[in-house]
Amino acid sequence: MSDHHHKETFITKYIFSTDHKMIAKQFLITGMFMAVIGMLMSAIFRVQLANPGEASVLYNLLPGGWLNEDGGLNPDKYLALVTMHGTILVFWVLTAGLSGTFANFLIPLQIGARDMASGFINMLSYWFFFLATVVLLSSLFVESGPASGGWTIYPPLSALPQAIPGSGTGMTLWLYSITLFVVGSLLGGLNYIVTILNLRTKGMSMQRLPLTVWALLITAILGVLSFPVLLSCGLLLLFDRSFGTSFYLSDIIINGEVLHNVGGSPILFEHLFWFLGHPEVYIILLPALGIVSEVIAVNSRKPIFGYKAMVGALLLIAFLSFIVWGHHMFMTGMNPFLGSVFTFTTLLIAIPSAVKVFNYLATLWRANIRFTPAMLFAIGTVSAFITGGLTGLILGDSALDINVHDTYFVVGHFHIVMGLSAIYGMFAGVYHWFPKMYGKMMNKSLGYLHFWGTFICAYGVFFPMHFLGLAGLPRRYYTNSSFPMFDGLADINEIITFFALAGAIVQALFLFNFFYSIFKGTKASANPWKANTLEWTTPVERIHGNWPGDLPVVTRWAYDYSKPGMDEDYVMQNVPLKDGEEEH
Amino acid sequence: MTNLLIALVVILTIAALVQLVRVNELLSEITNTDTNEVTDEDNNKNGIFFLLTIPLFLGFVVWQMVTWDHLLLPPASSVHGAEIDSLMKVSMTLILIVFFALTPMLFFFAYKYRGKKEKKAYFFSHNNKLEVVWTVVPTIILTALIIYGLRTWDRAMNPDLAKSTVIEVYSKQFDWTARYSGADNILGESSYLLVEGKNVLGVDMLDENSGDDVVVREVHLPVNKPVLLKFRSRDVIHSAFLPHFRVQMNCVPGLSTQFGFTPTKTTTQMKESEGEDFEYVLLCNKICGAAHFNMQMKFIVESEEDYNKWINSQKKLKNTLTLK
Amino acid sequence: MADNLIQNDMNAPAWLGGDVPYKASYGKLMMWFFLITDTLTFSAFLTAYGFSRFKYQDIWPVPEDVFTHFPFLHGEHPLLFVALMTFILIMSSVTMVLAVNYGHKKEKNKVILWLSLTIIGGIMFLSSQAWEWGHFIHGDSGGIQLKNTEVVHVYNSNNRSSIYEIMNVDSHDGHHHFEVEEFIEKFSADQDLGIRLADRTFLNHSESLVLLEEKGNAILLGANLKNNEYGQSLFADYFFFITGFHGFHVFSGVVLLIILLINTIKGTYEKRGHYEMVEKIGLYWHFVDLVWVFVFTFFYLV
Repeated sequence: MSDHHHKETFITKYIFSTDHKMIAKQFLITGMFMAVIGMLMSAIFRVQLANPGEASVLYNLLPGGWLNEDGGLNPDKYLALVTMHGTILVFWVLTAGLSGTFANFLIPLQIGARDMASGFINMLSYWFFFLATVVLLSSLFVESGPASGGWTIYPPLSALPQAIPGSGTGMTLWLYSITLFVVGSLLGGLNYIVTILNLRTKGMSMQRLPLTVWALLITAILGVLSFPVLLSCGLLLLFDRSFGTSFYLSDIIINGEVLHNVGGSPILFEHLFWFLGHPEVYIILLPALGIVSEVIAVNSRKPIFGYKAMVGALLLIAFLSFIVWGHHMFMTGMNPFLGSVFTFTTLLIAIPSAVKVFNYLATLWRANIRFTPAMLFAIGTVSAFITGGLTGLILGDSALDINVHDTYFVVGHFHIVMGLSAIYGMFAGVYHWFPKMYGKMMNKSLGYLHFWGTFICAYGVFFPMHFLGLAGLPRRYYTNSSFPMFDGLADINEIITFFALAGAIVQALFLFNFFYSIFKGTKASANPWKANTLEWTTPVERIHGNWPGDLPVVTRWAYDYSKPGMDEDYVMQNVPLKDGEEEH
Repeated sequence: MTNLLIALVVILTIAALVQLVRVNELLSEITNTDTNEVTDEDNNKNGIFFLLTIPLFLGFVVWQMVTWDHLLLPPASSVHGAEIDSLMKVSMTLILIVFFALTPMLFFFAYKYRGKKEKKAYFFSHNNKLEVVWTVVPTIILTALIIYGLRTWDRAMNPDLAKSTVIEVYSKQFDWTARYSGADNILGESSYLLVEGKNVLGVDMLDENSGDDVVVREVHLPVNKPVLLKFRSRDVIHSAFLPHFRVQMNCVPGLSTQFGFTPTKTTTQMKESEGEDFEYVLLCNKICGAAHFNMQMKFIVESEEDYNKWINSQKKLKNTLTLK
Repeated sequence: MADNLIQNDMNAPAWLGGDVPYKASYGKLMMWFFLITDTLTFSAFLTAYGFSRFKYQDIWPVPEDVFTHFPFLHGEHPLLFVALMTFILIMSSVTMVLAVNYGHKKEKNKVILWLSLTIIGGIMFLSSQAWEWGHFIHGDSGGIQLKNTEVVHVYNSNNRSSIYEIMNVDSHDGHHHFEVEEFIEKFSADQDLGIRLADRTFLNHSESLVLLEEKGNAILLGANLKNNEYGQSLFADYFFFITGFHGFHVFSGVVLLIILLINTIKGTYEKRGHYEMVEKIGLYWHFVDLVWVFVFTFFYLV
């Protein structure tokens, strides 16, 4: 690629870059920025839950109109915080921040390509995402407040400003923002798929692809198939809100006003939404698992156990993820037979998930584990995946869901699988590939402190939630003090808030480590982890086109760690086979 | 003032961290080692931490189970609810067994196989037999669980409606209203277009079945008699959640949903075991607006005799709503 | 990007890296995957439409009764116009195939010819769709909305009667609005008139009068997103939304084709050495055509 002929200005290098490595970092920084905002929001509403109605110094972060005269948080703004927290973390951090960063960074490097198939479309995908971010954040400052119907924005609540103020301008901005987000995601996804298909270097067959690339490919396909349905779902809602259509609305009297809409069905919205919504959580999880597969293999000095089974499990999870969406809708009054079908398919998805866990365990067995901070987080991911995955078996069973649906049991479950498992995967990825992204090493001791602090606090926040759920406590409640039956749960709420605030503070260690190391970290070598995959054959300085000379030619799979008969405990993918050596 | 102090603390913490890291770097320069290189000592430390995690984490889990057991919902007060509770016990036992087996295994492996410079890992890339075993075994266990679960679901969703007392539960921002169907056990027709003044539920008084309907803001149920709750909503999606009966059903505007069940324990009985303050309660369990957290209606389960006394003393709609 | 695509070893199977497995450039692959996403967007809309229509199948307007007009012709020609529109769009796909074909052969003038014909076809389709919308919005014979929001129509034996005629006005002469009371007056004068309910059952004259007096709410003329004279409000909602979304795709396709035509005339593709862009836009155009076939089938025919 003749990129080294281009003259780079500040604008083309850092702002409107078409280099996949820079775009990856743009996604990462934006994702981290949004993560801080989302986490602050959760700190704020956790404080409200621990001390209902009271003022707090943290509320100073909020726009003035959000507090009442006593300095306490307004109930509808509590719901606004919960909504925006969910939206930001699910879409901005765990989808764009996770996939956007690592797909962009790793795909061309790990397959031996100079860049993505279309650097231009790639750049567009970031800037659509950036625009989406600006629109979403602007909704925080609107007078009636941002969207407040939960990140799941079910109509009629999300369609009617009379039902809750945030469903006015705030919700309109939310929809515009998500439209831009989906367009950006689709543009990115198209690039990832096409690049993996067409730009693999010589010798990089599909069976030699690192598991990370497989995971990112399958994630991109999931996105391409499911995000358009969210787009449709949102467009119909937009019309109901602004143009008087009745796609989701019927038989409504709100604030004394009889609405003209007849014939619509909120359940239609739920079907369309969750058709994306379920694959979405796998769009979040799969890249994390892909990262973890890589990090565990490299730091165990062993091949990832059961490569083919792992790929098969990814494919099966992806396929099944399209036919389980109804488990979010067991209690909507839909035909019970449908409920049975979805229970069946949902519990099936546990099988490939279990296979992955067993394969991770087998990888660790008789390994020679090097505990880099990345490895610590990878192990954390597996632990959280076990814990959170198991509670999924309760929720996926329709009969059991009757009493835990929309309670804190659900909140505990999805936070452990997404907020722990997937985020740990993201941290693992950052710690692991930081030397390749910035040419510097992150501080190891701070990394250890970050992991152990986060691990303890995170389980401290979310494990107790299961008990709250089994005690019957619903989610999205501004306070739990309205029902005497929940008075005994106040202590648990305080414990959760304590760990939440502590956990939030621990993240400062990471933020500091990350930014300090970019500028003042010790200089890294080209392959500090002694890993096999192609990105570690590139020079530390990072150049356009990735390799200064010819592209590497691949001769083996990615997992020749501690292979018998070899001199080192790792063999990079472009090292030719020795005389008499058999390929795995 | 507080803000200033907080800002100061934050700045000083960051400054302290910066100094720590700089000291680290200087040390590494002096001793000529790479401080970011993972040493055997690091592996040892973290390995031991993972080993300690086993008793601490699992201990934490057990502590929660023991300490908070009394806060969980009491055993179900309905027929299908008792079946759900059994299914829950079995499912929980299963997942706890798996959790208590796999979690220590993970952390123990992390400890046992912590890295040492001279050690070499065992190149073991796959084993098809193992894959088959740990695919087939979960499949069998899950299939059994699914069958059990679906049977419980089927029974919960298909109660015997023939003998059920029909009661409508109407939701709106931010309260509940109930309408008994009266002696004919048929609810009068209703429509959102007929909501006006005292006719809060939009009952069609021209329908012959409406006259004997009874509208209340507190639900009484006769014990051991099946009841069918029919749900409607006036404005947004709400959800009727009766946790003690293991009943939950969304209330969707434009649709009618229902849930049938049989209560098995009277409020008095529950007060004996759970304390004098106990009440059965209906909560809203689907985000519906600002006061979502405070939408409640009391449910009382009593003997058939007490129930009959109560229902007969309530005013019928033909007496409270004038015919148009 | 070129050096990745050069095959060093002509015997290497396509999937081993260093090759393009589907023998398609990245641009073409991207178009295919984009079309998959667009397929899902339309599928979501058609599924939503199916969901709603199934729920209201008893009272859903029969498309043959609604889409009966043909430009410049009088009388009823059920679905004839939309059939013509479909034919035009399909023919434009044929001309597109020819354009792509001549693109492969690098015959510039032939590409210009067939592209131009495709553009004309696209514009004819859009104009027809606009005409269809105009008539749909203007309305036909009018309908009566009852207090329970059901829409009913006036019939004389088995023939639809026009409310305009009953009210003695010319439907094309300006904007009209009728009150229910004045309509009932005229209606009661003609004993042959009756009401057909939304579920297509008939009431005789006196039953109809009772219905109108007790439950008549408004006279609906024409269609908008809130309600329409043909029946359930969702009928018009989905009509506008789905054909509108499709029309937006046709429009963007025409724009892309015009850009393509200009570039062809300028010789951009001759210089480039290949007419692959014609093929890529061709794929988009065929997709737009295929979506129309589905919309036509599920909205108009079924």
